[in-house]
Amino acid sequence: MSEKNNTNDKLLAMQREQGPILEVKDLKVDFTTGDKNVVHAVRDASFTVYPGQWVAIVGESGSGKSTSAMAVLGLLAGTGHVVGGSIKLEGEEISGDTRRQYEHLLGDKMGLVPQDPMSNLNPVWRIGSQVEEALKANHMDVSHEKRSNLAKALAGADTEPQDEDQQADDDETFIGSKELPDLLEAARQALDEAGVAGKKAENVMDYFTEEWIPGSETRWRVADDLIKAGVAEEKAWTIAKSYVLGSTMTDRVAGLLQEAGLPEAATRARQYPHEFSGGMLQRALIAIGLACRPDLLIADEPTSALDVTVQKKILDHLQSLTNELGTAVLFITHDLGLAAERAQHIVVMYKGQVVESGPSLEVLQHPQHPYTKRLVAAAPSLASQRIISAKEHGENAEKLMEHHVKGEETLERSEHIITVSHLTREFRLPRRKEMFKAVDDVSFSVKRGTTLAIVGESGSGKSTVANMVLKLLEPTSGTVTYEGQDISGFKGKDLLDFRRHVQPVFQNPYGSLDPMYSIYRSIEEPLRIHKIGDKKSRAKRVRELLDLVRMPQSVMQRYPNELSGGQRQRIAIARAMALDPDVIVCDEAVSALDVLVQDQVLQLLNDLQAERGLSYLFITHDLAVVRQIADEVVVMQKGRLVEHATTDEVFDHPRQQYTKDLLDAIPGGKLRLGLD
Amino acid sequence: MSDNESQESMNTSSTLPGQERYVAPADTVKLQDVDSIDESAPATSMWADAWRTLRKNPLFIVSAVLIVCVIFVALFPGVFTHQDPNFCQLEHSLEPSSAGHPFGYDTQGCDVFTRTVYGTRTSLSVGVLTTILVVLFGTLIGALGGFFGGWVDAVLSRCTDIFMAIPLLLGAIVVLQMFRTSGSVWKIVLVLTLFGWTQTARIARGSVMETKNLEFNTASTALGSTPLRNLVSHIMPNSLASIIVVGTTSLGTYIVSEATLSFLGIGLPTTTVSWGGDISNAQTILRTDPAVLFYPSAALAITVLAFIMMGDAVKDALDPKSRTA
Repeated sequence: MSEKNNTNDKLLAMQREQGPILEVKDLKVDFTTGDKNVVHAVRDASFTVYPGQWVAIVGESGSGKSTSAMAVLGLLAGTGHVVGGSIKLEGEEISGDTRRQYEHLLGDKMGLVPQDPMSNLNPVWRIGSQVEEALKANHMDVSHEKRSNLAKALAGADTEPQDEDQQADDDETFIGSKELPDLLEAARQALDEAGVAGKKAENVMDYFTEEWIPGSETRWRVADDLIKAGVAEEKAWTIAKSYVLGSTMTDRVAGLLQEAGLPEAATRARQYPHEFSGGMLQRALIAIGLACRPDLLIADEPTSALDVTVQKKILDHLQSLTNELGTAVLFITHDLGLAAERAQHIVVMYKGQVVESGPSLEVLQHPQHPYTKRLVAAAPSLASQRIISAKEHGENAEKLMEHHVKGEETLERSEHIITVSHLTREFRLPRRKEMFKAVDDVSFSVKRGTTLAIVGESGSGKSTVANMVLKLLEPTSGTVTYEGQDISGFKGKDLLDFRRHVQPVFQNPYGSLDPMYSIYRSIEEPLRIHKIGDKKSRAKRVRELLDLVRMPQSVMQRYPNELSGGQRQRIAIARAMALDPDVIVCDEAVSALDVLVQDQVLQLLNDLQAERGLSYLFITHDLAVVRQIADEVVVMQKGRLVEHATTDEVFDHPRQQYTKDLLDAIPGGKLRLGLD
Repeated sequence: MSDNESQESMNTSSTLPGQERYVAPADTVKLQDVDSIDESAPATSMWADAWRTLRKNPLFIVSAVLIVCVIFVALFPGVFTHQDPNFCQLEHSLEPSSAGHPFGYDTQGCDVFTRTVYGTRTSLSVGVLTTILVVLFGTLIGALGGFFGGWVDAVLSRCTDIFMAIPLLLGAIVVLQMFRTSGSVWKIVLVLTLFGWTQTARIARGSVMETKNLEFNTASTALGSTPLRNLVSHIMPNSLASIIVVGTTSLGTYIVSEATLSFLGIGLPTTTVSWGGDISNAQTILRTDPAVLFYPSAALAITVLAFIMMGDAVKDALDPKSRTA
């Protein structure tokens, strides 16, 4: 601990001495739209990044956080341009630089890890070639490590100081794959000579085999490892110097990918992007971003497209990697919890302006600007309990308690509105003989008036369950019953009746509303399908529903493309509510929304439940949201149900390792909040 | 208290210059309601949006003016000339332009201006009627195949392929031989439809298949809608844009095809006035009297150009990629 403090102090002193790596002052970025209108995307934004530091810019979509980062990189899209302020990289003004000047900075001094891994790699190039391209474009020496001054100094701080001549550049030579077997053999002999034998020698050799990655481990590290294992210093250096002779391009590419956390990197480097999962693609992009050892890495929502558990793994890895390399990271995110967990310094942006900045924990625990306060209050990862509806808010504490007790009783007693038993669904995979079990023997039931959440990563089969409950997909075996009736037999009138009572709200608020339908027609559609009321009464009902989801009646004549994601989701909820259903199946209904909007939609869902006694089947990958809305949780992994308990139990005493991992991965979940 | 103090001092010592705590004054950035709606902007549907884009497109304005003129000429040829296009006097053969006869006379002594004016109707009706039939038939086949998939799609797609494999001219020659004497434009329309519907069918099929998998269809099904209702009220309206684009763009090419067939002598008989026929007649005297060839060709070129430009403008306006999602 004291050692760590020591390093921290040293780092701090060095940061103070070297000065900031990036200094942005009063940055102004404008976009000109088609009609010669000017949109001020960033107004007077200032922030500073020091070497080796993680700084997070937090804000909702449209807050200007990505625009600021792109302005720093000189990669503003379309009509955007910097109209004022200064951007200083290592003390040098770069905001007025030409594209050609920027080319020298990009890769070499500044790296980027973009947001969407799927669209940022060329699908017709092998992964390895794309890493290679980054190295070649910057004329990187692939046989030697390029270490920043900070990293050198820090590495020096926790290893033995070495002789002057040994600190020469050659010590940064990488292991080549050609020499690796010889190197390992020499190491074994050296160990023998040093008197390390038996089990211990095996362990040491295993460690060497694992750690000495061609194109990633350097000569001085090899020597260092040997010395630590007990080999005499002189001997260790002789071995290192005679067998560590530099790596080839292929070694280096594999080494970089391995560093980024890609297993079997040499094989993987020859694969194409479509053969990778989202998390693996993101790792490849991290390898590319760090390939030229930039001093500053800009990570633009690098993990927002990934599952939380993958996100945690990747960020953990990125953090240890950048710490080791001494890379400063400018981390763009919409998640305050994630920002506070990863960065030392937080910059909160709203409508193109910096509204608050400071040390992460301080900002989180004592937010001062009303917007930051709002963000902290809404952040699901920081919330510790279920939302209490506005209706219940007003009542005094005693009544609240009473209600709670009553609620628990009903939870025990009330009948099950939806029961799923031994549900299995198989799919035939292309070019495969055996069937793939997307859902495997899942049973649970939703109690009337409560919320049951199904949690799992993508591919866990949770949405398949939702579709079977909605009777959009037939199960291979097993049954779904609604009010005690098996829904598989429903046809014609029965089916229509079932549809009337069980309604969905889908994930993608952009896809679930017909773009050709006005909001009025969209909400009216279910009434039309079920032939309810006449024109006049339907119009009245649509108005009522808009009030219910707190949307102004003026939106009736509008079209979905004019509304934001959250607004569309509220319209989708209004449509689902049109027939006065008993059950609403929310399939990732809030996953695509910004934190504040997400909070608003969750509040709405919760209020509706309190007012109308709705039952929800809530599908999500985000455990943080579960805590806010669910009474019971079902955890799914690879099509199987692994845990089923009440929300409090799952959060306080998770039984399965998988659940624990999921809980662990909630960004900022362990941060303590001192809300004023 | 002392604890707090030490923490405070720690904080100040660990804060680097430029990273001090900063809070913007609350009044500089006005806090809006979460997810508030901009009620000032006018409401727009896809069609209204497309119309607004079109209105500003000079390509559209020019082509629209030309098309309106062409349609007017086709509907009321009598306004422009009082002569009968088939009233020819050999004594005027190949006379140059004179008062009342601005384009001069052809070999047969027919007034070129009158024939060009009357030819408009033939060309335009072939273009418009073929487009309508092709769109109706092609969309029907394509939509059914795309929507039902499976064997229905397999059968319909193979039929489309077979028709696609027959060269238009070859097919047209064979079929038109059977109706040599008929002077009606319908025979041309039917032949062009017979060999032209395949492109529309393919586009419609692709478009329907794409729209079919969009989430609002699933949403609609979950609301209790039947598949057929989905097809009619969600899938078709959303597929229409791309079909309209092919329709407008190919209208011009049908006019050209009619001219080609008439030129080859297998289209309309000489008794029916058409640009293609006139061009065919004029080719023999191209060297001596190019003007006779020039006028019908120019009329044909301008009309076709107008429709193709219109197609381009409509495509720009309706292109799903340029539309905001």
